[in-house]
Amino acid sequence: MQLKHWANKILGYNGPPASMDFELAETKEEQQSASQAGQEENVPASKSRQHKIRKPRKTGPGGDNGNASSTDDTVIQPGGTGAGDNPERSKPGSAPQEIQVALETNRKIIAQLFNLPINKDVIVREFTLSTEPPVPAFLIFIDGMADTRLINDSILQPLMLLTNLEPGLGIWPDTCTNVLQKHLPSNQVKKLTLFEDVVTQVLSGATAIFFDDCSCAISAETKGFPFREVDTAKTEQVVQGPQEGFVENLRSNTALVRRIIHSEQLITEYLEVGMRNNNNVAIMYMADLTNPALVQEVKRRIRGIKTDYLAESGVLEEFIEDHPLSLMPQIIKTERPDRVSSMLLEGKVAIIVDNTPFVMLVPGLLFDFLHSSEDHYVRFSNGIWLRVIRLFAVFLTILLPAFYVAIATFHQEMIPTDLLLSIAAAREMVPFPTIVEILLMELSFELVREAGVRVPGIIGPTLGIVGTLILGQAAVAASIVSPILIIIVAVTGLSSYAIPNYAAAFGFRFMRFIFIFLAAVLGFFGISSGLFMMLCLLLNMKSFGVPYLAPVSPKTASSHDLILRFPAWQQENRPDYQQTLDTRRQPELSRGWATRQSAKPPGNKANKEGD
Amino acid sequence: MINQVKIGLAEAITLLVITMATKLFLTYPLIIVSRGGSAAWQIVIISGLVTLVFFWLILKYIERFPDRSFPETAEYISGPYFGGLLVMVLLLPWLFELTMTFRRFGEMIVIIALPETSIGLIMLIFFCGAGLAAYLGLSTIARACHLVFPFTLGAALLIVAFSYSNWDTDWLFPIFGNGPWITIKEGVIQSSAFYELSFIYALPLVFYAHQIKKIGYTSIIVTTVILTTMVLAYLLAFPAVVGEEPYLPLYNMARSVYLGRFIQRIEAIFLLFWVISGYLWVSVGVYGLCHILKDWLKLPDHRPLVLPALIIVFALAFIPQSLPDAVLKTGEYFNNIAFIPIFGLPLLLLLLAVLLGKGGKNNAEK
Repeated sequence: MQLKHWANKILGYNGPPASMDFELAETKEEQQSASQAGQEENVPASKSRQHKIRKPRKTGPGGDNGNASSTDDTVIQPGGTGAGDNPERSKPGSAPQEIQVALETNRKIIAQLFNLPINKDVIVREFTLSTEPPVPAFLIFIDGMADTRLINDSILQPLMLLTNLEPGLGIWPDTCTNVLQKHLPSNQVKKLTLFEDVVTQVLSGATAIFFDDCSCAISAETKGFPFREVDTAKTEQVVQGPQEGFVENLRSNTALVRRIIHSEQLITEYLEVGMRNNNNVAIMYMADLTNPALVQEVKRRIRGIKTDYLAESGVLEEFIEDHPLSLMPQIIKTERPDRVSSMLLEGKVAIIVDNTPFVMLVPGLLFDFLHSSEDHYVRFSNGIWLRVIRLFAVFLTILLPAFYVAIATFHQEMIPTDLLLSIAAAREMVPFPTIVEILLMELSFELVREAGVRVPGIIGPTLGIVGTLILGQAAVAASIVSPILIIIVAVTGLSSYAIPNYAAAFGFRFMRFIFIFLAAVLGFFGISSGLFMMLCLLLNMKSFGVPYLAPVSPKTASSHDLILRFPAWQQENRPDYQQTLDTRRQPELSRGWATRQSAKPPGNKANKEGD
Repeated sequence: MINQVKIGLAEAITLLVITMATKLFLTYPLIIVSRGGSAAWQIVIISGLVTLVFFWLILKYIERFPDRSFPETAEYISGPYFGGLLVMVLLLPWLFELTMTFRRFGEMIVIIALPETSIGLIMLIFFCGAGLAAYLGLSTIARACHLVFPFTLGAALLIVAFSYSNWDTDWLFPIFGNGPWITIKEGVIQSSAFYELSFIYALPLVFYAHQIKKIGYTSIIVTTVILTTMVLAYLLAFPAVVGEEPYLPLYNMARSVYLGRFIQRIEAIFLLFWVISGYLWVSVGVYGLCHILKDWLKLPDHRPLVLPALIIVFALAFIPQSLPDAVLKTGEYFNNIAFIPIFGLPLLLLLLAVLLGKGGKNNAEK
């Protein structure tokens, strides 16, 4: 059976993958949506449309409590299905269970949903509203997720002590509305009628309050879980420019972006991924810029994920990228809010996964991985130089060791005679062929790099330096490798660290080994073959409908920000391949002050005063 | 049915130029110089002009059937049997040239870079690379051509510039070489060098119809300029008698580069671009072959045909015994007659269409 499956997979042709069908092209609808109001669902494109932050919406009561229902036969099954261990049960479409009128019934459902009393961090507090007549009630929250002081001061105290100020017949008949409007001094409250919403709210740190003789509950915002404070970016440091980086908390991350882009057109939408951990995923985009088809595609891919646990953005990346088997990343991951902001304004979509300090941006194209925020923060001439150096570093990372192997093994005639003699003299005592020699050193370098990352604290860099120096020196002294090889490996290693994106650098480093192998077997012909195949594969790749090598191939209109970075005032257009709703960043004449007209304004008050 | 791939203007031009000009890296200068002597460069210009005239006629044919593939047109004009025969007339020389060029590239690698490596291994790698590109499709190949073209052209021009120290204008005389009549006759015959132009009428639907005219004329002119420049530089560097000798003339020219003690023997660097051009040529050939077969057999996609086609090409490529005995000679024979089917086929169809009153305004019946 397995053999048949694999034979079909290898020999049979089943057409291109579905992801290849999506192309981010300007359609008539998109052009219309650029000129008119946005027609797409949830993708407002007009400025007049008010943006809404959609709260995470739970699709069904979950939890692995298959044993709980067996303890009490009289318990009403919430959601029509009960809380089973099958993640499929919480998928959208399962019948929601409405909150009951009787408090005791609700209490039992809650106990079953949250596996009480086994589940010790779920707290249920029963109390009575001091109205006349008194109204029994209970609240539920998760210890550690909710701020207990806030619950005491803003929920329990007003409800238990201050409700007796209610005149007449108490707060009956509409208890929920009365409490919401008069007795609950909380800034974010919500009236809930379904148990699945209660579960979602409680799991995200809110407190749910139930009242007797009332078919709804109140959710009050009481989030109070610990999270790391905003800190400097660890993996994308710059000399000039903002230093802060994202943290694990989703809300903090969205706030960091909003703090930079003060626009009502910046939309944040929430989705949930992971049937068991229900991780929140935020999608951010500019409503009046980003192509609606791109937003829809991002949401379609995320909604299409069926997994029980989404740990981190790297896992989500694997689920949604076009070519998961490729060595090169197709989604930009960054921990810098300024980078996310600038890319949002280019028309990309940001995907933020809760509990991850790395934000993803799509589409991610090859040249995006060679750019750094700092390119824009230094003078433009320096920015150009940085990019040229980086491009050079990419070629060195991939090809330098392979070139050495090819020349030393097959094409010695290429080396000038004097240099050839000195290399030959250095290699005279080395007992290994070039390929063994270089693999030995490259693998040692990778070992030192990996160990340097894993070793705790400040020992890491020390270990790296000591390891590299001592290993290299000792290897040369022992005549295991030639000195020129140490230079090659060191330059290659340095080059690989000059690539600003971690995932891209990893990809290039891995490619280096393939090219070394090809060079050792077939010399320059092997390298050329490898380059050709790599080129074809890269040309065939797409990231969310955009060709991976755009705007170089296929060639699109220049945004003056690719390899050469033009001065900021000359970058008038957004990248053409993004198919944005608004293609211009700024007018041709972005420096209004530089014109003659602006130099001589009629009735220049300042000049007159100065005179 | 997979959507019809369309390639843009710049990509189409570079694709055709690269495929037509890549033969420079093989034996083309040798054949031209052996035919025309010191007037070889004039042969290139004449063959370019002849090709322009032929293309003008081909354009009439394409304009008459703007939305039909070649097999469809052939069958529409002359019926399924004779039409099938015409498709075979197109495919067989295509397969022959593809096979021989495949072999020539393998031999070239052996001569230039890997004299002790088995040609089987080299051609197997070629097989994989070209197969991958052909499988990925025309848009990938065309984009690769567009990306690689400036670098390849730069490498070729660098060879010309670096060989400047060896130039001697005496080698261009006598100016009419073996005689004006022979030059003109060879100019017509050597229009076979533009064999790859048949891609335009064999796969007309991969181009935007309104761009075909510009694509054809531009690519012919650019190719003629490149070929003339290179042949002229070769003639300036080597006298015609010597120039007939080496199997790989341009490689010989690159080897002669000497810019002081440090920069010499740089031909291995040019190997990178030569190999990639070779890959592109074979990929285009295999893709074209599969695409025509796909159109002919009315299949939804060309990809299932790539592997069988490559295996056939691979097997046929080993039939010639050796480079000098077979590959060069068959190449020469092919050059002598190839222009007849490549330019004759669309002209024959055009003639039949005019006589039978098919195509043009009557094309709507499709």
